[in-house]
Formats: sequence, structure tokens, C-alpha cells
Amino acid sequence: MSFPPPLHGLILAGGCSRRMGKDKSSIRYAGATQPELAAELIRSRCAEIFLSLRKGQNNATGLGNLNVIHDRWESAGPLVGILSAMTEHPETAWLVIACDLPFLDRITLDNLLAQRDPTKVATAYRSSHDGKPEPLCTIYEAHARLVLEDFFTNNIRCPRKILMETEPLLLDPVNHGALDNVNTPEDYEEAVHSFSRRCSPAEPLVRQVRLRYFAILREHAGISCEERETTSTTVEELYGEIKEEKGFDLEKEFIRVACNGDFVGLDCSLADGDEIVFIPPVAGG
Amino acid sequence: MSFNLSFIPIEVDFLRQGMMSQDCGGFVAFEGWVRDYNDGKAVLQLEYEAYAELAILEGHRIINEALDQFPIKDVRSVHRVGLLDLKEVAVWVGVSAIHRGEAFDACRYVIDEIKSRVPIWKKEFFADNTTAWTRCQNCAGDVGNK
Repeated sequence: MSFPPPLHGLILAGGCSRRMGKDKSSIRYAGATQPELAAELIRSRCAEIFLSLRKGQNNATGLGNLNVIHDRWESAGPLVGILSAMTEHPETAWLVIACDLPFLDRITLDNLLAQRDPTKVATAYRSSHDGKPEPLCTIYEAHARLVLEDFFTNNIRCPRKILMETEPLLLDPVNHGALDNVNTPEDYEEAVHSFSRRCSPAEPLVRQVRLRYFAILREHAGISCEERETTSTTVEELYGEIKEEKGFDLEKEFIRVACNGDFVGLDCSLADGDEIVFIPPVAGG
Repeated sequence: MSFNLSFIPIEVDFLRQGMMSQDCGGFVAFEGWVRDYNDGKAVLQLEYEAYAELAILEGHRIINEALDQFPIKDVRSVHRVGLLDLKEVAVWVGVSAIHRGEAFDACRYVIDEIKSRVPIWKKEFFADNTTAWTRCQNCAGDVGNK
């Protein structure tokens, strides 16, 4: 097994939404529900994604194709959702994302994954408002289950409070407000207004990337670099796109990839402005 | 400690001189040379191409790993890029240490890691007018053979 262990994604959509007055998991931004937006964000970053719902809750999220984990206990709150997932899959780590974070962005997520310390109970952000841990955009390691269970049985069910007592790795926010959540109709109005100014997630996001070619791939492509627009979301997808277009013979198993000057995995997500190099088998010496 | 790429011939004596130190009892160097045949074909010339930024980054990582893993005093390496003739030095690794054993081990480690990790590619020009990118051929059919 690779270290750190692979992540499963858990989208928490089981909240009661009392202040919102309607199910938060069904309200829409630019046509997509919040759980759909969350799933889109974490899809390329997790081995599998699960939807956390209350006991007996109908799935109104628009994500009919996702596996659902229903709460095992009646007690309300996100801790039950997290513990239910951990009980069902005790061997994996979890990227837990609340479904009411419409401002959550890729940079914030990628930084969380990059900084992850699997030896800690969790990796989380400090709130940009009060400096306390943000427990619902957080990586919980598999070994956190015992700790969470302990708090749960002692009737401490606030994940923020638990994180404050378990020394997670705490990161400074990269984008102020990325983890602001939406609890009331007024919050929602404001979020929709701000959301409509960004590009719609319903349409594929186009990224501008720069590609450089070396050795056999440079000769085969006939160029040493190019700028291009792509809808690929990971470097693996991008290689598939380029391989097809240029007729490269090298299968992806034989190449390594560099993004912005250093090696990355094939699952690395693409961001606007990235410089990507596909590295054919090296032969120095 | 250093890792560099060089477009001009590697000056082996100069590099060795720069590492001499009275607190070291041993020095081991490896030189990779341009050989006149490969895969049963006569070779006339080689061309090395590097993704320079990452090659230097990864080369430095390897050098640092060697310093961490072996009790050695110094380790330096230079890799050629560009067109090379037969008998030229393609890569040089030098290691100085108090004792010879660690110097041999570290030198072996550095050259092995350079060959497998540093983004440098070798194109062979054969006597029969064909060319090949070493190690890319088996996974890429006959691309590159012209």
C-alpha cells in the first residue's frame, strides 16, 4: 500500500438546514446543487466519493450515481456522518467536505492535499475569522476513527472542538473566505450573486496550459513547446488528449510528468497557467 | 557538493583537483564514456538532451541523498549535453570520503540514481544511418528509428 494511503471523499449532505428553511443539499448555484459542486471539485482527487446522508434521508442532491452512506446513529451533526463512513471503510483516510461551502476552490483543496500530514489525526485549515480549526474541509486519517469514537461516546460531538483538542496539522487559509459557509437565505443571496460572476461549473472549465516537449516526444510532435487550451482536469487526461492528437506511441505507464518544474503524479490536477512536461523514459549516463 | 550540466567537454582533472582535501583518505570517480556500439550496432555519435531545470533539481536531490545516506565528505557530478564523439566523457561522478568503502558505495548510488531519475535523454547515431532514443524504443515501437 502506498503511503500516504489513498483518500476517499465524503460529501456531507445530511444537515438539517434549520436556518436555511430548506434542504441545503438541494439549493442550486448556476444550476448545480452544492453537493454536485463539491463532487466536481474532489472527483479527481479521491479514489472514491461517498455522499453522507441522515438516517432515512432522501437523496435530493442530484448525485444519484454516488454511493450513499446513511448515518448509523440518530444523533444529529456532522460527526455522526464522518464516523459512519469511517466505520464502513475503516482502512481509508477521508477528505470530508461539507456541502455548504460554495466558495471552496481548487487551490484551497490542492494545498490541503499537498500539505497533508498522514501522521496527524487530521489536516485542516484555520478559520480566517477566528483562527480555530475548520472541521468540514478536512482530511481525517484512518487512525482518527478511534479518537473520534472516543469523543463521541463521551458525548462531545462538535468536530471543531474535537480538532481543537487533538493537535491536527493546521494550515493558514490560502484564499480568504474559501471556507465561508452558507446558512441562511441571506447568505445564499449573497453567495449566488458572487457565484454568478465566476464561470459556471456546469460548463467544462477551459484551462490555458503550456506544454514543453523533449527528446523522442519533441521529435514526434515536431515542436518544443506550445500553449493550448484544454478541458482536461488532470495531467493524465491531458496526456491522453495529446497522445491521441500527436499520435504518440508511448503509453502513459512509461512516462513521468512534471508540472511547473517538478515531478507530479498522473492524478495531479491542472490549473490555469500550468507548465506541463511529459517525460519519456530517461537515459542519462 | 554540486550537480551540473555542461555543453563543453568535462575537464576530469580539474574536477578531481577541486575535490582534493587533506582530511579525506579516499576518492572514487566514475566516468561514463561514449562507446562505439550498442545493441549490436556500431555507434558514431551520441546526443544528450536535458530538461535542464528539472535535471538540475533532481540531480541536486540525488547528491543530497548521497550526503545523507553515506558518511562521505563531498560529492560532485557533471553531465554532458549536446553532441558527443566516441570516447568523450558523458557523465562524471566524484566522491571523497575518509574511507574508501563509503566512497565506492556513494559513487555507485549517485550514478545509478542519475541514470534512472534525471530527465536527460540519449540519442544514438548509428553507422547504418539510423538513430534511436535509448530506452524509449521498447515502449514506443520503432518511433525514432529513421
